[in-house]
Amino acid sequence: MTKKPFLTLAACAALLLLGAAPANATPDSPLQTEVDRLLALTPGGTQVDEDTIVWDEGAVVVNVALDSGRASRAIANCPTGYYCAWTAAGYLGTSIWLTSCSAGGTSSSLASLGSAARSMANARTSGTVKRMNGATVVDTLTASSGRSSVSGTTTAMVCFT
Amino acid sequence: MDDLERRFALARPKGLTRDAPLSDRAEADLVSILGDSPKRDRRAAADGRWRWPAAALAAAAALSVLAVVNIGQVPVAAAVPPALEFVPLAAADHEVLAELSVNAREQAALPSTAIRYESWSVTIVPGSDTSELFVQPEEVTLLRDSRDAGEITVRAGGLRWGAPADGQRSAEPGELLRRSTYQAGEFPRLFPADEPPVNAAEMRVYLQQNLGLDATATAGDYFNGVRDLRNEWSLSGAQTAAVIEMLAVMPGVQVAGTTQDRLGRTGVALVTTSRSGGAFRDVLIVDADTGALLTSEVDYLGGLPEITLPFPTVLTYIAWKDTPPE
Repeated sequence: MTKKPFLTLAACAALLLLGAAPANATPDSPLQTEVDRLLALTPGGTQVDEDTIVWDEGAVVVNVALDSGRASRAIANCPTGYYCAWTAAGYLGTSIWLTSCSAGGTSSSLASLGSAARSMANARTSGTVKRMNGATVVDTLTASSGRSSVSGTTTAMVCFT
Repeated sequence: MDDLERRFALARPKGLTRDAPLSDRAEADLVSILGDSPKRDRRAAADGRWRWPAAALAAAAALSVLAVVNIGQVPVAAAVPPALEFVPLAAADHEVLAELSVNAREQAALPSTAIRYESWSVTIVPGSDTSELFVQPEEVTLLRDSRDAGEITVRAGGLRWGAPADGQRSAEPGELLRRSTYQAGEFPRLFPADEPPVNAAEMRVYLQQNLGLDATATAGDYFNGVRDLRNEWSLSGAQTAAVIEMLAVMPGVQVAGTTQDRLGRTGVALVTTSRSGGAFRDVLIVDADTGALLTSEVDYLGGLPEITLPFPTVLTYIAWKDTPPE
Protein backbone atom coordinates (compact mmCIF):
# COMPACT_ATOMS: atom_id res chain seq x y z
CA MET A 1 0.00 0.00 0.00
CA THR A 2 1.49 3.29 -1.04
CA LYS A 3 1.52 5.94 1.60
CA LYS A 4 0.57 9.40 0.67
CA PRO A 5 3.14 12.07 1.35
CA PHE A 6 0.77 14.90 2.06
CA LEU A 7 -1.03 13.14 4.81
CA THR A 8 2.08 11.69 6.21
CA LEU A 9 3.20 15.23 6.63
CA ALA A 10 -0.17 16.16 7.96
CA ALA A 11 0.06 13.71 10.76
CA CYS A 12 3.52 14.79 11.78
CA ALA A 13 2.75 18.41 11.27
CA ALA A 14 -0.25 18.40 13.51
CA LEU A 15 1.91 17.12 16.27
CA LEU A 16 4.29 19.94 15.60
CA LEU A 17 1.50 22.43 15.98
CA LEU A 18 0.87 21.03 19.38
CA GLY A 19 4.51 21.62 20.05
CA ALA A 20 4.44 25.32 19.28
CA ALA A 21 6.50 27.19 21.80
CA PRO A 22 8.17 30.51 22.38
CA ALA A 23 11.77 30.99 21.34
CA ASN A 24 13.13 30.46 24.83
CA ALA A 25 11.84 26.96 25.13
CA THR A 26 12.48 25.28 28.42
CA PRO A 27 13.42 21.67 28.89
CA ASP A 28 9.83 20.82 29.71
CA SER A 29 8.35 22.95 26.98
CA PRO A 30 6.10 21.52 24.31
CA LEU A 31 8.76 22.40 21.77
CA GLN A 32 11.40 20.38 23.56
CA THR A 33 8.94 17.56 24.04
CA GLU A 34 8.40 17.49 20.33
CA VAL A 35 12.12 17.58 19.65
CA ASP A 36 12.55 14.65 22.01
CA ARG A 37 9.78 12.77 20.32
CA LEU A 38 11.34 13.21 16.90
CA LEU A 39 14.72 12.14 18.19
CA ALA A 40 13.18 9.04 19.67
CA LEU A 41 11.30 8.39 16.47
CA THR A 42 14.47 8.44 14.40
CA PRO A 43 17.54 7.78 16.54
CA GLY A 44 20.88 9.22 15.57
CA GLY A 45 19.89 12.85 15.35
CA THR A 46 21.50 15.71 17.20
CA GLN A 47 19.73 18.75 18.56
CA VAL A 48 21.91 21.65 17.54
CA ASP A 49 19.78 24.40 19.01
CA GLU A 50 16.43 24.77 20.68
CA ASP A 51 14.42 23.96 17.61
CA THR A 52 16.76 22.31 15.15
CA ILE A 53 17.71 18.69 14.78
CA VAL A 54 20.25 17.31 12.34
CA TRP A 55 20.80 13.79 11.24
CA ASP A 56 23.70 12.31 9.31
CA GLU A 57 26.14 15.13 9.93
CA GLY A 58 23.76 17.75 8.73
CA ALA A 59 22.55 16.05 5.61
CA VAL A 60 19.05 16.13 7.05
CA VAL A 61 17.93 19.18 8.99
CA VAL A 62 14.57 19.59 10.64
CA ASN A 63 13.50 22.88 12.11
CA VAL A 64 10.68 22.31 14.56
CA ALA A 65 9.81 25.95 14.98
CA LEU A 66 6.42 27.27 14.06
CA ASP A 67 5.67 30.47 12.35
CA SER A 68 2.86 31.89 14.47
CA GLY A 69 2.15 34.58 11.94
CA ARG A 70 1.34 32.02 9.34
CA ALA A 71 -0.72 30.05 11.79
CA SER A 72 -2.86 33.03 12.59
CA ARG A 73 -3.85 33.39 8.97
CA ALA A 74 -5.27 29.91 8.56
CA ILE A 75 -9.04 30.03 8.70
CA ALA A 76 -10.81 27.07 10.25
CA ASN A 77 -9.30 24.07 8.46
CA CYS A 78 -8.35 26.12 5.41
CA PRO A 79 -4.55 26.19 5.46
CA THR A 80 -2.55 29.32 5.00
CA GLY A 81 -1.99 29.93 1.31
CA TYR A 82 -5.30 28.40 0.24
CA TYR A 83 -8.76 29.70 -0.41
CA CYS A 84 -11.60 27.43 0.50
CA ALA A 85 -15.32 26.88 0.42
CA TRP A 86 -17.54 24.74 2.62
CA THR A 87 -21.05 23.38 2.23
CA ALA A 88 -22.17 24.45 5.69
CA ALA A 89 -22.09 27.73 7.56
CA GLY A 90 -19.39 28.08 10.17
CA TYR A 91 -16.71 26.54 7.92
CA LEU A 92 -18.21 23.08 8.23
CA GLY A 93 -19.15 20.29 5.87
CA THR A 94 -17.59 19.26 2.60
CA SER A 95 -14.77 21.58 1.68
CA ILE A 96 -12.59 22.38 -1.28
CA TRP A 97 -9.10 23.79 -0.90
CA LEU A 98 -7.80 25.79 -3.82
CA THR A 99 -4.53 27.49 -4.64
CA SER A 100 -4.64 28.47 -8.29
CA CYS A 101 -4.37 32.23 -8.73
CA SER A 102 -3.12 34.65 -11.35
CA ALA A 103 -2.86 38.35 -11.98
CA GLY A 104 -5.80 38.21 -14.34
CA GLY A 105 -7.82 35.94 -12.08
CA THR A 106 -8.07 32.16 -12.06
CA SER A 107 -11.57 30.76 -11.87
CA SER A 108 -12.28 27.55 -9.99
CA SER A 109 -15.68 25.94 -10.25
CA LEU A 110 -17.34 24.89 -7.02
CA ALA A 111 -19.38 22.18 -8.72
CA SER A 112 -17.26 19.50 -7.13
CA LEU A 113 -18.48 20.55 -3.68
CA GLY A 114 -21.68 18.71 -4.45
CA SER A 115 -23.83 21.28 -2.62
CA ALA A 116 -24.10 25.02 -2.41
CA ALA A 117 -21.23 26.82 -0.73
CA ARG A 118 -22.36 28.16 2.64
CA SER A 119 -19.08 29.57 3.93
CA MET A 120 -15.77 30.50 2.39
CA ALA A 121 -12.39 31.92 3.20
CA ASN A 122 -9.31 33.43 1.65
CA ALA A 123 -6.47 32.21 3.83
CA ARG A 124 -3.79 33.61 1.58
CA THR A 125 -1.47 36.29 2.82
CA SER A 126 -2.12 38.58 -0.13
CA GLY A 127 -4.44 38.91 -3.08
CA THR A 128 -8.19 38.77 -3.35
CA VAL A 129 -10.75 36.11 -4.13
CA LYS A 130 -14.00 36.99 -5.82
CA ARG A 131 -17.14 35.00 -5.20
CA MET A 132 -19.02 34.54 -8.46
CA ASN A 133 -22.54 33.65 -9.47
CA GLY A 134 -22.11 33.06 -13.16
CA ALA A 135 -20.49 36.20 -14.49
CA THR A 136 -21.61 38.31 -11.55
CA VAL A 137 -19.24 39.20 -8.76
CA VAL A 138 -21.17 38.66 -5.56
CA ASP A 139 -18.48 39.37 -3.03
CA THR A 140 -14.75 39.95 -2.69
CA LEU A 141 -12.67 38.37 0.01
CA THR A 142 -9.48 40.10 0.93
CA ALA A 143 -6.48 38.17 2.18
CA SER A 144 -6.93 36.49 5.55
CA SER A 145 -10.66 36.95 5.59
CA GLY A 146 -13.67 34.69 5.57
CA ARG A 147 -17.43 34.59 5.34
CA SER A 148 -18.80 32.23 7.95
CA SER A 149 -22.26 32.18 6.39
CA VAL A 150 -23.13 32.67 2.74
CA SER A 151 -26.56 32.43 1.16
CA GLY A 152 -27.38 32.49 -2.52
CA THR A 153 -25.59 30.74 -5.31
CA THR A 154 -21.84 30.65 -5.75
CA THR A 155 -20.72 28.99 -8.95
CA ALA A 156 -17.02 29.73 -8.78
CA MET A 157 -14.24 31.51 -6.93
CA VAL A 158 -11.81 33.66 -8.88
CA CYS A 159 -8.41 34.19 -7.33
CA PHE A 160 -6.16 37.15 -8.05
CA THR A 161 -2.54 37.43 -7.06
CA MET B 1 5.68 22.15 -9.93
CA ASP B 2 2.91 20.46 -8.05
CA ASP B 3 1.41 21.63 -4.83
CA LEU B 4 3.56 19.54 -2.55
CA GLU B 5 6.71 20.66 -4.29
CA ARG B 6 5.56 24.23 -4.08
CA ARG B 7 5.12 23.91 -0.35
CA PHE B 8 8.55 22.41 -0.08
CA ALA B 9 9.98 25.23 -2.13
CA LEU B 10 8.33 27.77 0.11
CA ALA B 11 9.52 26.03 3.19
CA ARG B 12 13.23 25.70 2.73
CA PRO B 13 14.91 25.27 6.04
CA LYS B 14 18.22 26.61 7.06
CA GLY B 15 20.61 24.20 5.45
CA LEU B 16 23.90 22.97 6.68
CA THR B 17 24.90 21.19 3.49
CA ARG B 18 22.94 23.17 1.05
CA ASP B 19 23.77 21.56 -2.25
CA ALA B 20 25.10 18.21 -1.27
CA PRO B 21 23.16 15.16 -2.35
CA LEU B 22 21.87 12.95 0.38
CA SER B 23 23.53 9.73 1.24
CA ASP B 24 21.44 6.60 1.28
CA ARG B 25 21.44 6.73 5.06
CA ALA B 26 20.38 10.35 5.14
CA GLU B 27 17.63 9.65 2.72
CA ALA B 28 16.49 6.72 4.77
CA ASP B 29 16.46 8.86 7.88
CA LEU B 30 14.53 11.54 6.14
CA VAL B 31 11.97 9.03 5.01
CA SER B 32 11.79 7.71 8.54
CA ILE B 33 11.24 11.16 10.00
CA LEU B 34 8.52 12.07 7.62
CA GLY B 35 7.01 8.67 7.16
CA ASP B 36 7.90 6.94 3.93
CA SER B 37 6.58 8.39 0.76
CA PRO B 38 9.41 7.44 -1.53
CA LYS B 39 8.76 9.21 -4.79
CA ARG B 40 8.20 12.73 -3.58
CA ASP B 41 10.34 12.52 -0.52
CA ARG B 42 13.31 11.78 -2.72
CA ARG B 43 12.69 14.88 -4.73
CA ALA B 44 12.48 16.94 -1.62
CA ALA B 45 15.43 15.21 -0.11
CA ALA B 46 17.50 16.13 -3.10
CA ASP B 47 17.14 19.70 -1.98
CA GLY B 48 18.79 18.63 1.21
CA ARG B 49 16.86 21.10 3.28
CA TRP B 50 13.63 21.10 5.19
CA ARG B 51 11.63 23.44 7.17
CA TRP B 52 8.51 21.96 8.59
CA PRO B 53 6.29 24.86 9.47
CA ALA B 54 4.80 25.65 6.09
CA ALA B 55 4.02 22.07 5.34
CA ALA B 56 2.85 21.70 8.89
CA LEU B 57 0.46 24.58 8.70
CA ALA B 58 -0.78 23.63 5.32
CA ALA B 59 -1.35 20.12 6.43
CA ALA B 60 -2.36 20.45 10.03
CA ALA B 61 -5.92 21.17 9.16
CA ALA B 62 -6.05 17.84 7.43
CA LEU B 63 -6.05 16.27 10.82
CA SER B 64 -9.53 17.56 11.33
CA VAL B 65 -10.51 16.44 7.91
CA LEU B 66 -11.51 12.94 7.54
CA ALA B 67 -10.88 12.21 3.94
CA VAL B 68 -8.85 14.06 1.40
CA VAL B 69 -9.64 13.10 -2.10
CA ASN B 70 -8.32 14.23 -5.38
CA ILE B 71 -9.97 15.65 -8.39
CA GLY B 72 -8.36 16.33 -11.68
CA GLN B 73 -6.21 13.24 -11.61
CA VAL B 74 -6.69 9.54 -11.71
CA PRO B 75 -8.38 8.85 -8.40
CA VAL B 76 -6.80 6.79 -5.71
CA ALA B 77 -8.67 4.63 -3.28
CA ALA B 78 -10.19 6.56 -0.44
CA ALA B 79 -12.11 5.31 2.51
CA VAL B 80 -15.70 6.43 2.49
CA PRO B 81 -18.75 5.25 4.34
CA PRO B 82 -20.52 2.33 2.69
CA ALA B 83 -23.55 2.92 0.55
CA LEU B 84 -26.87 3.08 2.32
CA GLU B 85 -29.09 0.06 1.82
CA PHE B 86 -32.79 0.59 1.36
CA VAL B 87 -35.64 -1.82 2.05
CA PRO B 88 -38.60 -0.78 -0.10
CA LEU B 89 -41.90 -0.13 1.55
CA ALA B 90 -45.14 -1.62 0.33
CA ALA B 91 -47.13 1.57 0.75
CA ALA B 92 -47.22 4.26 -1.91
CA ASP B 93 -44.85 7.18 -1.50
CA HIS B 94 -47.63 9.69 -0.84
CA GLU B 95 -49.07 7.47 1.87
CA VAL B 96 -45.71 7.15 3.58
CA LEU B 97 -45.06 10.85 3.41
CA ALA B 98 -48.51 11.67 4.73
CA GLU B 99 -48.01 9.37 7.69
CA LEU B 100 -44.59 10.86 8.43
CA SER B 101 -46.11 14.31 8.40
CA VAL B 102 -48.92 13.32 10.75
CA ASN B 103 -46.47 11.68 13.12
CA ALA B 104 -44.26 14.76 13.07
CA ARG B 105 -47.09 17.15 13.86
CA GLU B 106 -47.90 15.17 16.96
CA GLN B 107 -44.49 15.90 18.41
CA ALA B 108 -43.96 18.66 20.89
CA ALA B 109 -41.66 21.58 20.21
CA LEU B 110 -38.04 21.07 21.15
CA PRO B 111 -35.96 23.72 22.85
CA SER B 112 -33.31 24.92 20.41
CA THR B 113 -30.47 25.46 22.81
CA ALA B 114 -27.88 23.41 20.99
CA ILE B 115 -27.39 21.55 17.76
CA ARG B 116 -25.32 18.42 17.92
CA TYR B 117 -24.43 16.12 15.10
CA GLU B 118 -21.97 13.63 13.78
CA SER B 119 -20.62 14.53 10.40
CA TRP B 120 -18.24 13.22 7.84
CA SER B 121 -17.31 14.97 4.62
CA VAL B 122 -14.73 14.71 1.93
CA THR B 123 -12.19 17.46 1.48
CA ILE B 124 -11.37 18.15 -2.11
CA VAL B 125 -7.87 19.29 -2.96
CA PRO B 126 -7.56 19.61 -6.73
CA GLY B 127 -4.36 18.14 -8.04
CA SER B 128 -3.50 16.40 -4.82
CA ASP B 129 -2.87 12.68 -5.05
CA THR B 130 -3.63 12.11 -1.44
CA SER B 131 -6.20 10.06 0.26
CA GLU B 132 -7.06 8.95 3.74
CA LEU B 133 -7.58 5.30 4.25
CA PHE B 134 -9.95 5.65 7.15
CA VAL B 135 -13.19 7.36 7.97
CA GLN B 136 -13.28 9.28 11.21
CA PRO B 137 -16.36 11.44 11.65
CA GLU B 138 -16.47 14.70 13.52
CA GLU B 139 -18.66 15.52 16.47
CA VAL B 140 -19.99 19.03 15.99
CA THR B 141 -21.75 21.10 18.63
CA LEU B 142 -23.25 24.50 17.89
CA LEU B 143 -24.28 26.54 20.91
CA ARG B 144 -26.03 29.82 20.33
CA ASP B 145 -27.80 32.13 22.72
CA SER B 146 -30.55 34.65 22.18
CA ARG B 147 -28.01 37.39 21.47
CA ASP B 148 -26.53 35.35 18.61
CA ALA B 149 -23.39 34.77 20.56
CA GLY B 150 -22.09 31.26 20.80
CA GLU B 151 -19.57 28.64 20.06
CA ILE B 152 -18.93 25.94 17.48
CA THR B 153 -16.90 23.01 18.67
CA VAL B 154 -15.58 20.22 16.50
CA ARG B 155 -14.15 17.11 18.10
CA ALA B 156 -12.88 13.91 16.58
CA GLY B 157 -15.27 11.01 16.56
CA GLY B 158 -14.37 7.37 16.66
CA LEU B 159 -12.83 5.56 13.73
CA ARG B 160 -15.73 4.18 11.76
CA TRP B 161 -14.43 2.53 8.62
CA GLY B 162 -10.94 1.57 7.52
CA ALA B 163 -7.74 2.12 9.48
CA PRO B 164 -4.81 4.50 9.22
CA ALA B 165 -1.87 3.29 7.20
CA ASP B 166 1.58 3.20 8.69
CA GLY B 167 2.69 6.74 9.25
CA GLN B 168 -0.81 8.12 9.27
CA ARG B 169 -2.39 9.30 12.45
CA SER B 170 -6.02 9.43 13.35
CA ALA B 171 -7.16 11.79 16.04
CA GLU B 172 -8.06 10.49 19.45
CA PRO B 173 -11.83 10.27 19.79
CA GLY B 174 -12.96 13.34 21.67
CA GLU B 175 -9.85 15.31 20.72
CA LEU B 176 -10.64 18.95 20.13
CA LEU B 177 -10.11 19.79 16.48
CA ARG B 178 -11.51 23.29 16.25
CA ARG B 179 -13.38 25.71 18.43
CA SER B 180 -14.76 29.02 17.27
CA THR B 181 -16.38 31.50 19.60
CA TYR B 182 -18.64 34.28 18.45
CA GLN B 183 -19.59 37.49 20.17
CA ALA B 184 -23.16 38.80 20.24
CA GLY B 185 -24.54 39.14 16.75
CA GLU B 186 -21.68 37.28 15.15
CA PHE B 187 -22.80 33.67 15.21
CA PRO B 188 -22.82 32.39 11.61
CA ARG B 189 -26.34 31.74 10.49
CA LEU B 190 -28.27 31.56 7.28
CA PHE B 191 -31.72 32.00 8.76
CA PRO B 192 -33.22 34.78 10.87
CA ALA B 193 -33.79 34.56 14.59
CA ASP B 194 -37.55 34.17 14.19
CA GLU B 195 -38.93 30.65 14.39
CA PRO B 196 -39.21 28.82 11.06
CA PRO B 197 -42.75 28.43 9.67
CA VAL B 198 -45.04 25.51 10.35
CA ASN B 199 -46.77 25.04 7.02
CA ALA B 200 -45.39 23.77 3.76
CA ALA B 201 -46.02 26.77 1.53
CA GLU B 202 -44.46 29.17 3.98
CA MET B 203 -41.56 26.82 4.53
CA ARG B 204 -40.81 26.81 0.81
CA VAL B 205 -40.84 30.60 0.64
CA TYR B 206 -38.74 30.77 3.80
CA LEU B 207 -36.04 28.59 2.27
CA GLN B 208 -36.17 30.48 -1.01
CA GLN B 209 -35.76 33.84 0.65
CA ASN B 210 -33.05 32.93 3.06
CA LEU B 211 -30.97 30.72 0.79
CA GLY B 212 -31.48 32.58 -2.46
CA LEU B 213 -33.26 29.68 -4.17
CA ASP B 214 -34.89 30.76 -7.39
CA ALA B 215 -37.42 29.24 -9.75
CA THR B 216 -34.83 26.84 -11.13
CA ALA B 217 -34.18 25.26 -7.74
CA THR B 218 -34.72 21.53 -7.73
CA ALA B 219 -35.94 19.21 -5.01
CA GLY B 220 -32.31 18.47 -4.29
CA ASP B 221 -31.65 22.12 -3.62
CA TYR B 222 -34.48 22.06 -1.10
CA PHE B 223 -33.09 18.88 0.47
CA ASN B 224 -29.87 20.77 1.05
CA GLY B 225 -31.81 23.77 2.27
CA VAL B 226 -33.50 21.57 4.83
CA ARG B 227 -30.08 20.39 5.93
CA ASP B 228 -28.94 23.98 6.32
CA LEU B 229 -32.06 24.74 8.34
CA ARG B 230 -31.69 21.71 10.56
CA ASN B 231 -28.09 22.68 11.24
CA GLU B 232 -29.40 25.87 12.83
CA TRP B 233 -32.70 24.84 14.36
CA SER B 234 -33.92 21.92 16.43
CA LEU B 235 -37.16 21.82 14.50
CA SER B 236 -40.43 21.33 16.28
CA GLY B 237 -42.84 18.64 15.16
CA ALA B 238 -44.93 21.17 13.27
CA GLN B 239 -41.88 22.63 11.55
CA THR B 240 -40.68 19.18 10.59
CA ALA B 241 -44.11 18.33 9.25
CA ALA B 242 -43.95 21.47 7.12
CA VAL B 243 -40.66 20.28 5.70
CA ILE B 244 -42.04 16.84 4.87
CA GLU B 245 -45.18 18.28 3.31
CA MET B 246 -43.12 20.71 1.27
CA LEU B 247 -40.91 17.96 -0.10
CA ALA B 248 -43.81 15.58 -0.66
CA VAL B 249 -45.21 17.61 -3.52
CA MET B 250 -41.92 18.34 -5.25
CA PRO B 251 -41.15 16.53 -8.49
CA GLY B 252 -38.40 13.96 -8.22
CA VAL B 253 -38.81 13.15 -4.55
CA GLN B 254 -39.13 9.45 -3.79
CA VAL B 255 -39.40 7.25 -0.78
CA ALA B 256 -36.50 4.81 -1.15
CA GLY B 257 -37.60 2.69 1.79
CA THR B 258 -36.36 2.06 5.26
CA THR B 259 -32.68 2.23 6.04
CA GLN B 260 -30.24 2.60 8.89
CA ASP B 261 -28.39 5.85 9.18
CA ARG B 262 -24.72 6.17 10.15
CA LEU B 263 -25.65 5.98 13.82
CA GLY B 264 -27.58 2.77 13.31
CA ARG B 265 -30.98 4.39 13.65
CA THR B 266 -33.77 3.04 11.50
CA GLY B 267 -35.65 5.57 9.46
CA VAL B 268 -37.44 6.20 6.21
CA ALA B 269 -35.26 7.54 3.42
CA LEU B 270 -36.48 10.27 1.11
CA VAL B 271 -34.26 10.63 -1.94
CA THR B 272 -33.96 12.77 -5.01
CA THR B 273 -31.53 12.85 -7.90
CA SER B 274 -32.83 16.10 -9.27
CA ARG B 275 -29.67 18.17 -9.05
CA SER B 276 -27.08 18.53 -11.81
CA GLY B 277 -28.79 16.15 -14.18
CA GLY B 278 -28.72 13.28 -11.74
CA ALA B 279 -25.10 13.63 -10.69
CA PHE B 280 -26.02 13.71 -7.02
CA ARG B 281 -28.36 11.76 -4.82
CA ASP B 282 -29.64 13.74 -1.87
CA VAL B 283 -31.00 11.72 1.02
CA LEU B 284 -32.96 12.69 4.09
CA ILE B 285 -33.64 9.98 6.64
CA VAL B 286 -36.67 10.53 8.81
CA ASP B 287 -37.72 8.75 11.98
CA ALA B 288 -40.83 6.74 11.07
CA ASP B 289 -42.47 7.19 14.45
CA THR B 290 -41.79 10.86 15.08
CA GLY B 291 -41.07 12.26 11.64
CA ALA B 292 -37.91 13.81 13.06
CA LEU B 293 -35.03 14.42 10.68
CA LEU B 294 -32.25 12.00 11.53
CA THR B 295 -29.70 12.29 8.76
CA SER B 296 -28.81 14.16 5.61
CA GLU B 297 -26.50 12.61 3.07
CA VAL B 298 -25.18 13.55 -0.36
CA ASP B 299 -23.88 10.90 -2.73
CA TYR B 300 -22.08 11.49 -6.00
CA LEU B 301 -23.40 9.27 -8.75
CA GLY B 302 -21.08 10.40 -11.54
CA GLY B 303 -21.47 12.47 -14.65
CA LEU B 304 -19.70 15.71 -13.88
CA PRO B 305 -16.36 16.37 -15.60
CA GLU B 306 -15.20 18.47 -12.64
CA ILE B 307 -15.31 15.44 -10.38
CA THR B 308 -13.15 12.45 -11.11
CA LEU B 309 -13.90 10.61 -7.92
CA PRO B 310 -14.76 6.96 -8.19
CA PHE B 311 -18.52 6.75 -8.07
CA PRO B 312 -20.99 6.21 -6.65
CA THR B 313 -19.52 7.59 -3.46
CA VAL B 314 -20.65 9.37 -0.33
CA LEU B 315 -19.64 13.02 -0.26
CA THR B 316 -21.00 13.94 3.13
CA TYR B 317 -23.39 12.92 5.83
CA ILE B 318 -24.77 14.64 8.89
CA ALA B 319 -26.49 12.64 11.60
CA TRP B 320 -28.27 14.93 14.05
CA LYS B 321 -28.23 13.83 17.61
CA ASP B 322 -30.79 16.02 19.29
CA THR B 323 -33.27 13.20 18.95
CA PRO B 324 -32.30 10.32 21.19
CA PRO B 325 -31.42 7.14 19.31
CA GLU B 326 -33.89 4.27 19.43
